[in-house]
Amino acid sequence: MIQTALIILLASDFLLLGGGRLGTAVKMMALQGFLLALITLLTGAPGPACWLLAAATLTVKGVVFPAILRKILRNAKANREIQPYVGYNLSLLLAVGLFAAALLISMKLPAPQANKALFTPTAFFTVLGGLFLITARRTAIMQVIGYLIMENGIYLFGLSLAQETPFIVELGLFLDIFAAVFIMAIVVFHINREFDHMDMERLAELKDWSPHD
Amino acid sequence: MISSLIVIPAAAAVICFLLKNDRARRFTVIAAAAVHFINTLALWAARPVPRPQDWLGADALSLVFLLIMSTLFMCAAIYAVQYLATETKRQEEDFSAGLLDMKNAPEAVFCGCLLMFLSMMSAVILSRNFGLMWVAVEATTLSTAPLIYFHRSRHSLEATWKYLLICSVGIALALIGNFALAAAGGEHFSLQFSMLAENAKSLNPVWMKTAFIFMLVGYGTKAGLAPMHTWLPDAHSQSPSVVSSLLSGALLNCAMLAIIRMHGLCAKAGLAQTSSGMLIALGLASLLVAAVFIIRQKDYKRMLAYSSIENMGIIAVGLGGGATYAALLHAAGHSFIKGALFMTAGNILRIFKTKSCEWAKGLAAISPATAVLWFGGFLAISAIPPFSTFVSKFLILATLATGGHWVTAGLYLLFIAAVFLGMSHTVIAMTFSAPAPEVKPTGSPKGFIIPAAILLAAALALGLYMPDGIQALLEEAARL
Amino acid sequence: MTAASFYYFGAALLFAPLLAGLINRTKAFFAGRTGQSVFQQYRDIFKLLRKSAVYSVTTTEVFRIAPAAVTACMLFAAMLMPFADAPALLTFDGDIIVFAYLLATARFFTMTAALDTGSSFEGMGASREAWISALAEPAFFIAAAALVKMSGALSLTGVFSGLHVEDWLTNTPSVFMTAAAVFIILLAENARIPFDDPNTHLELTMVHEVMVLDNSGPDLGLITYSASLKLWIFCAFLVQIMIPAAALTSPFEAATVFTAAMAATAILVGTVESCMARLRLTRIPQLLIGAIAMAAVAFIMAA
Repeated sequence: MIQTALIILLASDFLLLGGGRLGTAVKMMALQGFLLALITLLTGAPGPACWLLAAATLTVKGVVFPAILRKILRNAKANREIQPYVGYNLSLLLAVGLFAAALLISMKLPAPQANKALFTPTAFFTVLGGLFLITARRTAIMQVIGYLIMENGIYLFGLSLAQETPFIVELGLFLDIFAAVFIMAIVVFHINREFDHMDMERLAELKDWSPHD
Repeated sequence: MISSLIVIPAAAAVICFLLKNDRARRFTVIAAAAVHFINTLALWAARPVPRPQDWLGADALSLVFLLIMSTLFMCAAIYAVQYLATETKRQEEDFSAGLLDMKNAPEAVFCGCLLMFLSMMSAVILSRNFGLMWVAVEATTLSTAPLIYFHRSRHSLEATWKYLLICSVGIALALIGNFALAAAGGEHFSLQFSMLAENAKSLNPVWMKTAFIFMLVGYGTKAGLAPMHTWLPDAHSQSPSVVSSLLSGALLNCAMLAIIRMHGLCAKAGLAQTSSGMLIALGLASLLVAAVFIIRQKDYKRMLAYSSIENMGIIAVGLGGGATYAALLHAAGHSFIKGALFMTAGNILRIFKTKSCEWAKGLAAISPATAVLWFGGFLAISAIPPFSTFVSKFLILATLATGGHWVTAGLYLLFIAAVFLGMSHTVIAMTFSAPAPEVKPTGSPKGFIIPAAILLAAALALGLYMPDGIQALLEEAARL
Repeated sequence: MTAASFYYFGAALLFAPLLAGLINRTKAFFAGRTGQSVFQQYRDIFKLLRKSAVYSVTTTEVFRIAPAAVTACMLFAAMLMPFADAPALLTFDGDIIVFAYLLATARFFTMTAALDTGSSFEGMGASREAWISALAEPAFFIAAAALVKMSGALSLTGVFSGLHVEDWLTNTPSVFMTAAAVFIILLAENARIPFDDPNTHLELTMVHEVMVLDNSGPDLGLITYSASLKLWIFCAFLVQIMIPAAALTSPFEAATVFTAAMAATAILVGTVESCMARLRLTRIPQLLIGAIAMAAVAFIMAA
């Protein structure tokens, strides 16, 4: 069951890296939130803390964040991705490379238990995928989505390790991510209002040497 | 007493958000800063020993950073109040960007975030648990982002976005490091300092190395170590000067504290080689970046930002080379001096209304007090004796030499010299050249001059005469 | 090579057009029509074989031998493909590569014949075919590599008889992803939606149809037959990935299960054809690179 969920998570990562529509990306994010909640239930030690954590993951990552992102999309009236720095086909092939890298990293680390064999590679691949999205995409929304994907991967990594993570740290984690996304949403709103676009390519005016020296 | 250091500023922040009266808000800021400062001194006098299961506690290392930050914030609060009073009276014009209609954010947000920032930084310094430390560092990022965006303009928006995104990504990587650190404990799955220090020898080395790499990259992003420093010049140059001084003087230190604690843990676990090597590598990279970009820098606040990167590199090299006492002393000196320099830069901005080095010249004739502070600060940050930075930089060099790291020492000297050349060219041009005819000599309100003067004097005092109390504290901190 | 191999080879030759008919029937069902009978493809082929061919004056011998060459390649490929629990008629180490190259040769002849007509219409079809197959072939090779890695054998027969239930269970994600990739390749190579529309004769949506536009009579009959044989071969490839042959005990059981699976695959293709439209040409590489990525991930993850 865990294996299947991890495979679907992997597939959603590939779809995110290779896809162009912002709406689809937000849907994939919601799917990932749901899957993470499911995996939390399946791996955690049974008890009220586990249920609470799964419920929190589902609400925050599966419902709230996609809602915030959709609101931003509606405000900005943006639907399609602008031509990214790294094209979609190349992104997909690079994604395979990132997956191989994630497998290499997980092989270096001490081996986890048998039923969690796919955990660390998927976690690292999600993190690397998120980083790739941040660097290779041009709209601010995709950068926020990339950051959230990174957080998903880190959360998965934490799940794979923890028998009992101190509950307070998890909660603090959630609070921080929530606040971070909130503030990012506000800044993206300001960016869109100020510049009338969300193209990060044009947000590169601050530099050290200008051409007319 | 310890938790009050965190709770009182946080409560004051909430009060600031709710208050409608400007004067009341500014009074709250100063009051909270003063209470914090007095609390810190009391804590130093009392020196409670932290218990193993405490989440918050003040050991020697915490006290050092707490004292630095408290002093800096006290001066910054005075400056901030004066700044807010002058800001609300007129509209900004910045020649380098043309006539920009820069609107300012509501003052409530500014004051509230400032105090929240103080509270969260205290939490970072006082935490005895890596997990709590992580949460607090993330919180500092979030509370400073609105501060950078105080002057609403395209450039500050760009700087805020870069800052928010890059620092959040860095801190996310540091979280991976936290998880790896917890995994290193095996059955003793904990992130408490005491637990980890106890079982240091039995920690899994693979996980420890992974944890250190991720934490160094993650917290190093926040501390401004190259190559993760790209947010620093923009954020420090676009934010109001008082915010820049706090960012440079306090925030970078907090991130460095996290790295210091991790490095200490690695040393206890027997992995000092790896961690020192990586620290020195990143430190030298930062020095190189600073040296390259500070020459011919057009914006004097950006120049100061690159100087911050340089100093963080020096601290990292010092840590890696084993000169922890010197590194801590340098952190203190740098905080005070950079704080003073940024405040002075704020003065210059107010007088000349431009951030360009070319246009802001003739400081000595226009405003002698500011010129003294500016040139004095430059001398201080370049480690001219008798400032304390001279002692710290020299000690680091000596430790590197005696340790046999000749190449490192050579590169260290080379890069510092390059930075000195770059900075001196700009600063001397700004201070001693003939002023442009249309700018008249102006005086500065006391509130702008005194805080910076206090900070510089503190740095001078530390260099001239080190009180035994402080010396003992630094030594104890270095042993951790 | 056993007696069963001959039976299955004969079945392939005999029942290949039936598969195509089944797809058409499924599409008709989705469209709410009764549709052609499942044997319609046979009637078409026989009708075409009885007619006489007309050749354009711009064509040369290449155009005349192409249909026969294509059919020969397909027959040879069918001889290499095992089925159910029986080995293939011909099997040797590395026959996967020969299999791929046979398909490529068939494609080469089709494209050359299309270019030979001198019509720009067929030329466009040939260029599109080249472009699609340039992306589909790496996917096929990587999927085959994943299968080889899982089973440890180097021939088609070896791969499929070596895939035991235990391999299936340990490598479930890899198997699924390989199967998904092979399904996409199946759609691409056999000119099905979303790559090509076999029903229309519009320039916008033709790839395979347009290449054979100038063929007539027995030539067209041979080409239609070889197309259905290709479909049969690919369906057999897909079915044998999904169902490990070694799990089935008796030959009778194997035959029934595999026949049912082939029919199910045909119905699945028909369903996909009915539910999707043909993709824009700019999107086709994305889908194929997605197939490459899936096959690559399956290869990396296979034990």
